[in-house]
Amino acid sequence: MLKVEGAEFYYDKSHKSGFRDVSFSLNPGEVLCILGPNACGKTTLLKCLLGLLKLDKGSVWLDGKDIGHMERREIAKAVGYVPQLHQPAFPFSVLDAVLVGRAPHLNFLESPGKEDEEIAEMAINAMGIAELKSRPYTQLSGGEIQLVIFARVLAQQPALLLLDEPTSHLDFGNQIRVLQLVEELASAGLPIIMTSHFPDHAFLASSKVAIMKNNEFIAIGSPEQVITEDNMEKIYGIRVSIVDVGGPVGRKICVPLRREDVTVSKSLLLERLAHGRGK
Amino acid sequence: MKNQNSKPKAKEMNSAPYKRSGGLSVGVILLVVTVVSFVLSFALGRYPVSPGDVVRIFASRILPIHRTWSSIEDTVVIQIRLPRILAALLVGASLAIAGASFQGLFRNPLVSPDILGVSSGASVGAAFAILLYQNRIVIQVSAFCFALVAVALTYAMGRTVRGNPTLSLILAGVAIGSLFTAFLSLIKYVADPLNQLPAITYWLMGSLASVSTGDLIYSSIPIISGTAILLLLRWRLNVLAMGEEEAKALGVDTNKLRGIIIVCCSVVTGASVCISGIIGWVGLVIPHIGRMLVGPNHKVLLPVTVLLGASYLLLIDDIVRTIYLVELPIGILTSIIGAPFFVYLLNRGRWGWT
Repeated sequence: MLKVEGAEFYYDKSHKSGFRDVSFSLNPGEVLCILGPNACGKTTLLKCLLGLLKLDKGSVWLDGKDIGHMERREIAKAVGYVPQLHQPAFPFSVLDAVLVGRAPHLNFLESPGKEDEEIAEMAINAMGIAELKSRPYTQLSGGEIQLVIFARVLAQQPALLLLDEPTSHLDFGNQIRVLQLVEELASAGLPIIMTSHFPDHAFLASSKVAIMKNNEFIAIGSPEQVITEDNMEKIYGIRVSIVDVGGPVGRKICVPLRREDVTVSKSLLLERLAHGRGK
Repeated sequence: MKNQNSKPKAKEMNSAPYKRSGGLSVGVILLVVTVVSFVLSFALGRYPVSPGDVVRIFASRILPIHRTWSSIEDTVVIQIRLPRILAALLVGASLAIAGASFQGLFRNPLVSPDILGVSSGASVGAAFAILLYQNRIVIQVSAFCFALVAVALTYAMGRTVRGNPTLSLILAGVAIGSLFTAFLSLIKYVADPLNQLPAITYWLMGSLASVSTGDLIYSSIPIISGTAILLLLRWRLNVLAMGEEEAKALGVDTNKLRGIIIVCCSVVTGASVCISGIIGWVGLVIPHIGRMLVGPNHKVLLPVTVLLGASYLLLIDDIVRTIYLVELPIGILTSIIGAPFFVYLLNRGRWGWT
């Protein structure tokens, strides 16, 4: 389905921001979660997979076609993208905002017809927001707006879904709802790549995890193999414990540990502050 | 993130669902309003002509009707009022559709058609021609060319800046706009204060009084073709309004689309400004009224702004030519009405945008 070979892209000649030597493949129904610290190149990689940025080296094969040789519209028919944060400019109705997803299927002078409207409505219903259909989408909550954007990407009818930190601007409940949605879409056969800052989210919703650090993948494999205490310390610089909690949870979780030296330095700091005030 | 406290209030005010069919009925009503005001406008003015005679004078061009009106009435209606009324419709429609398109393109409801320097370019062109020739045709052609040159400069400058292309275009527009304003000041400074300077000042205030049939024919070609292209592309503005990156991810060649829209808007605005002079606020206010009536979906909004803009400027021009013995420049009245009305719009709920 998707095959990435030796991909490399840098924004600048000093090779600071970008990524190199990324290779992986993804089959229908698989969810690849890319973990990594801020500014490690996760979003840049997604933009290259979308064809928004052209690779310096390597290639991205989509169903046997090199996306470097595909037109914008052709890529958009196959690859759907959910941005980190959608910023609405105008209060379009939910239906109008979702209809925009039909753009790659329409000719330059065409606007959506009855059939497109039906597809958009199906996508809206699938997201469970049918009652919001005619509401201005700017008046919805952050979680609801995210569902609108998901409906838009479904209306696009892509063969591959790219989600850039789909949970980062949502509250706890909506984060989990979005992850459940990711699982549902994947079980319907859609391959998904998402970036995340939460190792736990990878345990929850992904079948594959890649860890990106210093502009390259340092590990890729199943969540159990890749999300280890060592790896987490390597990429985030904090110590975590990974435990299988069993019981109703029935999976591994990743929890940060308390630093032993924290209490010491904190009391020292407080003492100094008190001392300073005394003067 | 959004301010949580202000949200429930905003929700009560604005969450009314859009009606899908609303656009069509508003469109029909506006079309009727435009046609009625078109006919009635012929009857308005210093020289009285009854609406019945207006209809008969027009009908007599096609049908053999017994002549009940004087030849003066015929001249007033056909040669004086017709070009002016058509000009008001054309210019109003142009400014309104260019404003609405630019607001969608730049994802910003505070943008007006002269954001990229069209008006300042046209002003310099007109002032320069007044300084050198004082010939009407030369003034119009020069205004049109300079308008396009200003936009081309803005566009070229915006392309050289890295980063967000719409933001760099707006910033380039600010720079080019003030550069051309400086040129305009220079021309005004060296102009003969007895006849050239008043002519320049008068041109800058905008007027439809001197539009001739010939002006109308030449300017209507770019105006109508530009408007037609914008109307054909109007749904794509919804996609662009999602933001540069998302529009690209949705398969849109944003550079090409933006280029086409900028060219159309500039040609349409330039062609109308060159016959009317500077008429402000129409392109900013009319799209807002349009969004209040039919919502922000450009597929419905653009045709509605065309009708709104046309009938609005016709109405304002009717007021301008009947209210007082000496005719007021139309640009003054649109600004006097536009500015306070805009403040009213800003305070009244927040319908037009987020």
